[in-house]
Amino acid sequence: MTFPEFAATRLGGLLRYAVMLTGDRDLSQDIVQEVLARTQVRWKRIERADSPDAYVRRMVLNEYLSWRRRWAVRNVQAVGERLAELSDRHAAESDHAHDVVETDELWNRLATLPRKQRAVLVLRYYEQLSDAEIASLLGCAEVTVRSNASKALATLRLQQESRIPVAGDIR
Amino acid sequence: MTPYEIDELTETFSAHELLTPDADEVLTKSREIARHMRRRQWMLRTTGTVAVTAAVVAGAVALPGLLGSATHETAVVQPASGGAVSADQTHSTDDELAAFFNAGYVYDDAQQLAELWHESGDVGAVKAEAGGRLLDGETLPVAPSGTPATADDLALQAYFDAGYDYNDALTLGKMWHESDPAQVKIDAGKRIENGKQLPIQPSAGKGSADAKPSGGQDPEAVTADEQAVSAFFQAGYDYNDAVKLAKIWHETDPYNAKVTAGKKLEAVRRCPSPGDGTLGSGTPCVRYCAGGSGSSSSCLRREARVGEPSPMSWPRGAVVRYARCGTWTASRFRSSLWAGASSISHKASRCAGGRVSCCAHSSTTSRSARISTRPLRRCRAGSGY
Repeated sequence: MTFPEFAATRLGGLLRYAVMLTGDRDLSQDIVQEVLARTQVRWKRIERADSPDAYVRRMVLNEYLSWRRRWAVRNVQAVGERLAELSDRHAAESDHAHDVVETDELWNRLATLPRKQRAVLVLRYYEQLSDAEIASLLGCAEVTVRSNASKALATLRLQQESRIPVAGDIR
Repeated sequence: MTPYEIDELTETFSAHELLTPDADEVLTKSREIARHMRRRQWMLRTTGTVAVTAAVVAGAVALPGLLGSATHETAVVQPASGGAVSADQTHSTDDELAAFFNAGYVYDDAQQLAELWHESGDVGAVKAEAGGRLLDGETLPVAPSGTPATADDLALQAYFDAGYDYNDALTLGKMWHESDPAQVKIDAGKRIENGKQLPIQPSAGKGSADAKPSGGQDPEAVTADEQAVSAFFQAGYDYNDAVKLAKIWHETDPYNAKVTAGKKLEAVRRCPSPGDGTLGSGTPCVRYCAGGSGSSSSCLRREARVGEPSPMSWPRGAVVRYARCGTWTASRFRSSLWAGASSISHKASRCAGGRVSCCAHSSTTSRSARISTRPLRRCRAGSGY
């Protein structure tokens, strides 16, 4: 497989993955751009990996976990902006408006989680990976994965109960 | 976790897949970043040792081409050992362009590639990208329309690039008992390609840095021009920039523009140290100085007069952030503007009156953002942004 073929077939998935991890369109774009550029430069080495796709996804995950840009700055986004964006994309399907609000609340609560906890949730419930696979990806023990997942979910529940609607307010 | 919560999470993730950025844009940007990476690697290899931090602290200019991961540390890199170029190695834009044309590709091919790759506007970048891929051993999706350069063509090119000419070929022919000067040039070029030295030095022309001919009509002038051109490329500019600058400056050809631009860039390095008030009206000097505050300790604070006519004053590829008329506060970062530097020179004069203080920021984390273009919707006249 050549790099262009790889990019053509896998880029969409990588971008969705990055969006789930970061919760931020621009940041996910930055991360994937960065990773894709490195992939391109080192393609001959990467294509020899057992699974280039898994290798690159791991690069995305590592980039997300080590991203040093100040999240506070990037994450201060008006919820309304996000809702408007989503609503636009849902076009005239007004019935979805309520669902959008609901999912957006949870999305914002997810944004308040520490990166590793969020990564665990994404890997578990979006990527559908087992705890063992997640532990391997994150370089930690399975028990740590379960612990992170448990803490993350507890935080989400607590936030739901206390009805804190805006991620920026929490920070 | 209840099934309901799992469903809710899954639904939330699915709903927000809509936030996925445009893949074509990401691919285009990543190609550009890859080019920067290759160029930076190449520079580090060819320059051997690059000490960026010292230059920053000393208030010297920081080269945008190096404004990547090297900002924080002193990078010591061994010179290239030669040999074949692998995917992990990098190439200069000149090498990439040479590879493109030597493979028999022409302008029309570049346009076809630009269409396939969804590149618009910058055919030169497409040529360089294509050349880089060829050097990496990749196959391009378009067949060359022209005839690939032969080994003899390349040898001739190496001969002339090294600064030798017809008269040198005659001299060498006598020494080698070869009556055909054309054949002498080819033989000599092959020797040069193999890293061997010729028994004579070039009698005219300007030799390339690789061949290092020490003769010539005016060695000092050649060195100064070469240094200027080197400064130009090291600052992250390329041939296309030279073409644009040549138009702006009414230069006869891009090479002259490179020399002029390089000299300007070198002049920047000789600017006085910060705080001495030499940046007054009419002073063309643009200065970088150690500074930065707020959220980024790696910022290079840059001061310039508004309305500076020269686009050279805005380093291509740098993230430039505005602060209001020299005021520099951490909160300003929050509303920072990210854009390609070529457009920022226009935005600056619209954004603020008087002097502008901005930040050429670099770090590994912002490398991708460095060349991303974001809307300048926060830009308001007189407000700083």
